[in-house]
Amino acid sequence: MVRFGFAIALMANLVLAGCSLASEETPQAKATATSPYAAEMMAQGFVELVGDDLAAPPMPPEASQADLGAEVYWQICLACHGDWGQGLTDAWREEWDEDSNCWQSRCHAPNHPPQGFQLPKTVPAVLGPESLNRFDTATELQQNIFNTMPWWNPGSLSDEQSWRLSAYLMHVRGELGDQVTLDAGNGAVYRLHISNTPAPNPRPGIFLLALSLAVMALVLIRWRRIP
Amino acid sequence: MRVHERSTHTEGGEVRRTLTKRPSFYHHLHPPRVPLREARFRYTFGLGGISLLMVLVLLLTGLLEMFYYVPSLEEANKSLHQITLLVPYGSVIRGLHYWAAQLLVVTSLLHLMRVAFTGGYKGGRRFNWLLGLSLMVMVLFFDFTGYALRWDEDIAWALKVGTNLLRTIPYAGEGLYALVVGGDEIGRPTVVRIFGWHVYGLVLVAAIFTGWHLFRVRRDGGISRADKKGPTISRNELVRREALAALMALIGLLLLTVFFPPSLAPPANFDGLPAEATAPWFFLWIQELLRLGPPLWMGVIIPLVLLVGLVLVPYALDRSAEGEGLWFNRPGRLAQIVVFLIVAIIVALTLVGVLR
Repeated sequence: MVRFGFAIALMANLVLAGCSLASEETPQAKATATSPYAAEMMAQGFVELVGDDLAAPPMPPEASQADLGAEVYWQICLACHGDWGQGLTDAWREEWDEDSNCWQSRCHAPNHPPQGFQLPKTVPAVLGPESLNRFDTATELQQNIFNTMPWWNPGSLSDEQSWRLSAYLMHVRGELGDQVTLDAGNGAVYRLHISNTPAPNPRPGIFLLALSLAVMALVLIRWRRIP
Repeated sequence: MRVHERSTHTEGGEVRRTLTKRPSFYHHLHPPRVPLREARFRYTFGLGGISLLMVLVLLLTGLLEMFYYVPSLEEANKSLHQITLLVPYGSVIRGLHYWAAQLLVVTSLLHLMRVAFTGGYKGGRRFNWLLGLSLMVMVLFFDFTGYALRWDEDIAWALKVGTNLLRTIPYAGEGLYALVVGGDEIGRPTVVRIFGWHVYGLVLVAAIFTGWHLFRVRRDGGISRADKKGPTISRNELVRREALAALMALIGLLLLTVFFPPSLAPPANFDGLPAEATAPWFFLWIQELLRLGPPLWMGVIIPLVLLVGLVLVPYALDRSAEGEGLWFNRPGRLAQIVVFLIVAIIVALTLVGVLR
């Protein structure tokens, strides 16, 4: 089932890549923040999650959980939730060219062929205003992803993939630093819709304090030798 | 220091007025002169003072933790994570609280041994020995309730076993269990009860006993000494040594906090306990005892017998006044052997538990 889901996602990505190649205007329009499309999306609070060429996100050598989540998003979520996290909007469906009406083309209508699946008319945004409003914590988001996503094959994502996606989404939403690794232990702590600024590393301050105490101790020792 | 007038009577009956310096509050906690021999580090090892320092660290850091800790079933563990991960310097405050609590068990036990082996419980100091023992027991209760307040998967077994031990006590068991747990089983009221004991009930009693313990040290003539007429040092010198010991202990505490931070674990789930029971290290000896026989005997009666053995030290095992202030003094030999055996049993069982 995982392979099937992956194959569909890959096919969807190839189609999207084809769409973007076929239409030179739209990617160009989205390339810079000054383009009307990008400006409009940014004004609405969206972030460009995948580049115009819809290529895989770059993976740094020491990838964080959020970096790994970007890859999962690109593989599995992108087709429905959009390159700006906007959901399955008309504008995003237009990227699909002749298949832009997912339901009319029968791929995702109730009478879909065996290899297809039915899609709801509305696929929610994962970025922007009002998005993910029903989730309070990272754990709630992860549990929802783990239990109900991807739409065509719920439960096919691993626990870790769901955490990676949660970390990635919260990171691009500005709610989580990319150095945070979410898990079952801390997932309930990090809340959506607020900025979870991690506490700064206390070590420099503590070492400075310990050094000050050591200097004070030396002064006391030098003051008079203890018998 | 403030200068004030002091009146003394000479042998001829004349009143002599002199100007002396009045000690500050901190200086006033100490006698004006302290015996040189007993003020040496190798006599006390600073254990009583370091224990007091740990208590002060615990009070301060505990107070700060209370600004963020939420004593509820859903929020307890979550707030602990928030303190550690999100609150600036929260991990340090929690680490200091944790390590001060662990060290307090060690330093207060070593302090008890030092007092036992130097005859510091003799004569008028008998009652203070009892106060000290009470504080030692309270430290264990503090550590256990503090451990339970983490409300993570590690504490589930310990809390279940610890509270179930109460049920084994004849007649009063069920009542004590309900008092601690707040119902028929561990649940929503339990975390509030434990929090209440940890930050109010035990603190109130321990504060009174700590003040009493320190007051009795002063009242009983300061530190126990072998030679009443030996050379002395000023309290300024004593304060300097105390400050030095406190600074060293604080540096050690900070380094422990930075390099060995306390663990974080997911919330406790009492419906799905792990197969192997695990007690906190300071109660591993009771866990090992529980493997050997019925819970009432191994978990309640034997620990109480060991405690009674310690209580009897100045009242039955060594009632002599000789040997005070002398390491391993002859009159206190029986008491020393009993204390050593009790501590050895506890340490040996703890080591067995650690190595298991």
